[in-house]
Amino acid sequence: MLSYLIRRVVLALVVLFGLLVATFFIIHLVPGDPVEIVLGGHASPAQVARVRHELGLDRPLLSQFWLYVSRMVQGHFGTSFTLDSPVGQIIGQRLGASAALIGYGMLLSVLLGVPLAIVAALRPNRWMDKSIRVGTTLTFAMPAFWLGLMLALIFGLELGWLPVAGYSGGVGGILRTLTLPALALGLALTGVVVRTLRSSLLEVLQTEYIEAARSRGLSELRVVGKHALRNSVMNTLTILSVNVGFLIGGTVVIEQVFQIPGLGSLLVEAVEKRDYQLVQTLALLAGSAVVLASLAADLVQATLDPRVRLAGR
Amino acid sequence: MSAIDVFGESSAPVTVALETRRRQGVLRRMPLEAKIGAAILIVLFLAGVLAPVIAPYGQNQLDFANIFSAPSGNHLFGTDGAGRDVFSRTLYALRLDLGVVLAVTYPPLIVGVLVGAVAGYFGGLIDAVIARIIDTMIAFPFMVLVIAVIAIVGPGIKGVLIGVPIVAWALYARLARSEMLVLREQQFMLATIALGYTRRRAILRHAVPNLLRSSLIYSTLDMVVNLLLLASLAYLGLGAQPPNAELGSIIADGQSTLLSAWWIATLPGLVVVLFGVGAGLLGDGISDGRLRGRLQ
Amino acid sequence: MSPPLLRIEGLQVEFDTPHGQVAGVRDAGLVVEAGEIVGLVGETGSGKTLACRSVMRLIPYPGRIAAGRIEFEGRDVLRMSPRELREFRAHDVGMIYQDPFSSLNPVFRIGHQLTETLRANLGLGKAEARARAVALLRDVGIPDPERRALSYPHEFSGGMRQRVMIALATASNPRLLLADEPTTALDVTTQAQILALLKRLNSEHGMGVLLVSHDFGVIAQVCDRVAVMYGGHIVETGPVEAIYTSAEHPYTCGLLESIPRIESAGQSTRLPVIDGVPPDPTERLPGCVFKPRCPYAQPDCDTVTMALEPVAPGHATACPVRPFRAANRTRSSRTGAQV
Repeated sequence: MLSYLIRRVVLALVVLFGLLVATFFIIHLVPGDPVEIVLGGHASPAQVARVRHELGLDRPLLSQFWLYVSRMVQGHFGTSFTLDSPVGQIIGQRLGASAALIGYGMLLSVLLGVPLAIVAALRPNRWMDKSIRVGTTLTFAMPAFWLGLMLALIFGLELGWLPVAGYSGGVGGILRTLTLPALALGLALTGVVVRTLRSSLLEVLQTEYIEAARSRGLSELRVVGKHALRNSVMNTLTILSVNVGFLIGGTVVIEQVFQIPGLGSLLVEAVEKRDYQLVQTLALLAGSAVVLASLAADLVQATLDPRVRLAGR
Repeated sequence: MSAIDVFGESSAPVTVALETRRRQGVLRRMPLEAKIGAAILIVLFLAGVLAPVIAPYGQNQLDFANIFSAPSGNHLFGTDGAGRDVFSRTLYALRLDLGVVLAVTYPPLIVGVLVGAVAGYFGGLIDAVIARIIDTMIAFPFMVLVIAVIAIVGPGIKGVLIGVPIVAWALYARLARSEMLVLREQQFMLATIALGYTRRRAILRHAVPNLLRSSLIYSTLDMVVNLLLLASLAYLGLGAQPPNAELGSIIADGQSTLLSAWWIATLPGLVVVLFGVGAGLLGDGISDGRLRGRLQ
Repeated sequence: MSPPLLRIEGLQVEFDTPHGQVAGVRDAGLVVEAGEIVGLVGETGSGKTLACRSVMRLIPYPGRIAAGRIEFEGRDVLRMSPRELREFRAHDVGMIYQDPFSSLNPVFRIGHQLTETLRANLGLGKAEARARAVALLRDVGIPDPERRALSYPHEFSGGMRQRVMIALATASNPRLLLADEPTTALDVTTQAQILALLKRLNSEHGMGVLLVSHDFGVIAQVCDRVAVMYGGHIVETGPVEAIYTSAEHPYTCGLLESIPRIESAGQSTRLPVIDGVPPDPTERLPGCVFKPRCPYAQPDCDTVTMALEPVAPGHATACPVRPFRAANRTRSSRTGAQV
């Protein structure tokens, strides 16, 4: 178990390093002088030079990289000069909304996806299964922002059940303001969950140990809900963790549709204002979140599935 | 190119005969699902290609007398705030988007499969390094990376054309690599060693055709993802710029009048959904058909 | 006279495949009395596993029980409601499988799988169930049961796993145990141990056993009576000694003759085999299903209906040619084995 843990953590660190390298180059690949672009070309050469020095852009590349890494690792994200406040603070303010949105979206996709997958796997190739499959094809095909707009149109504008813009915290606020966005975000993921869980369940339901469980007179609910599901959970977890990146990408768009002040809309703003530093930091954060999620999923999987641990892989 | 080819040029007639039969078999065996999906895609691609010919109005033909008119015989999808025919704009947008989608899906597929095949075949250090690179690329949320690239090069199609392939190849590489690891041990691959074939030949002529199959199936899904990505970027204002019609930007324009002129945001979106459904059915159909063939 | 523990009559199991209907079991019947160990022997594809699974109605889709009667202590199993069926499986019958690795859920500990059955089926409390589980493990011969209860299936050897399987299946004291090739995947020594365990459970608890195997040696070690199956039909039933000493069906004879004997070790004798291959399950041939391979086949064998006829008390055969070894009947040419 320990050796497995260590291996996974080391791998994650390697990937994180790769991320640092990749994001570092964001500023340096900009054609032209990033500082001038940001300051808008009205700034005096003295101002430009000052900002360049602050950002450390006048140093040799390697030392810049070292500076970058040490800053990021310590969480000194610098000050955004387009928004005129410390980046760390801005991110902190907006993190809550995005995190709530992603979490809620994942939760919805599991709450919707698992029962549907079970129903589909219990009676494969009958009409219920087929219609569920068609449903998942449909949800894959819908752009999240369009779906968000449609949901907003129907439930927000036409029916007036839920607000279509803004965000408020707290459980009640989240339920009220984030339900439609989370649905729009999570529906495509629901499709993925249904598909993978269904096929995993189908495989498991063919096994002899499931038949043996039935032969002991255990109820169908227990056989499927406990025995079969436990063996399929692994698969689903992997899928969810792999799709964290997809969800993060989705929040960028959904936050725009529903005007949620989160990190996604921050990213878009940063790009529009050419705030490379902010873009860099956000990109690094996003990448790290994906890496951490996948590490967490692996660890949970190791806890749940003893074979993984002992194989040491 | 087929596995039977292992036994050398002398069996060329046999090989060809087998291949033709296999090709015919594939078409016949394709279930209804896949045929419907393929039909939908063909219609959409044709609509895009022929847009200049079949669109009833110009992309940016203004008509201030008829702003915000609902769908009708004259304007299938209605008109927008400047009187432009939404249907025509959709057709042109389809043309642009589908072209970009093809450009960002298939070249990365080829590159990815080759890289993955090489990594899987050689193993060892080459594989370790390539695998780490693949993992790093995949760790990046697609959207965020593309946006970062757009931040650098500026909005417009350029950003998409550069940004998407940078990561897209990694997915195919990962797929191809893991398949190659399995394939490498199969009889016909071991035979290529026994027959003294060069490694290049073994990889290119024998392994890759088998690897391509699952990558092609995955590409149907990938095309949809890329189209959605394109549309999302345009929606955010980071993609193709006006006045170029782009599916996402048309929908974005429609957001402010969502309740009053619902058709602007809704109908072009349905076209995107239609594309996704078509590609999905095709992908499902082919992969199911493949399984069915194997069981028999 | 009380009804037998298990009675199967005219069982027919079919599969709906894209190639048409495949008959796994064409017509099977046998009886297990309370406390008896009955063997069901036949080669792969004879239908013995399907027949065994039918007793608990565990035939997987697309198979189904097309016809026949299965009675357990007089109750009609095929007509049981889902709830009755569950009770039946929980308390009256147990089943153990050939591959003990794939019949244990790999992600749950052994002890947990046992306590689950005990709590769900017998309603025991947590502590009680745990104690019982440990006792059960001890009873089947697992050393250090408290500690081993915390292990996972893959941490056990094949023989141990099979014991666990037996513990699981017998946890609620069923009156009948269905054993589907329980020793096939084990080495000879472990095999003997498992068979001894089964025999002990049978004598201590009066539990009837239906032991399915393709190995006559296994059958001979523990069974009281035997049913021989071929091509979906039962071709002979009888007490194990009677079958051994005077088999009344050519197929049984062939099976017995083809068992390697220790006496012939060191000599280069050819092992007699039965010519030909088992019948194609999609084809329904008229007459005796064994005829194509039978060295004693007569022309009538093409038209006879397969049915078990008694030849001695408790001993029945489906061979219409009786006695087929009679001196004045010559063996028909072995080329009768065209398939």
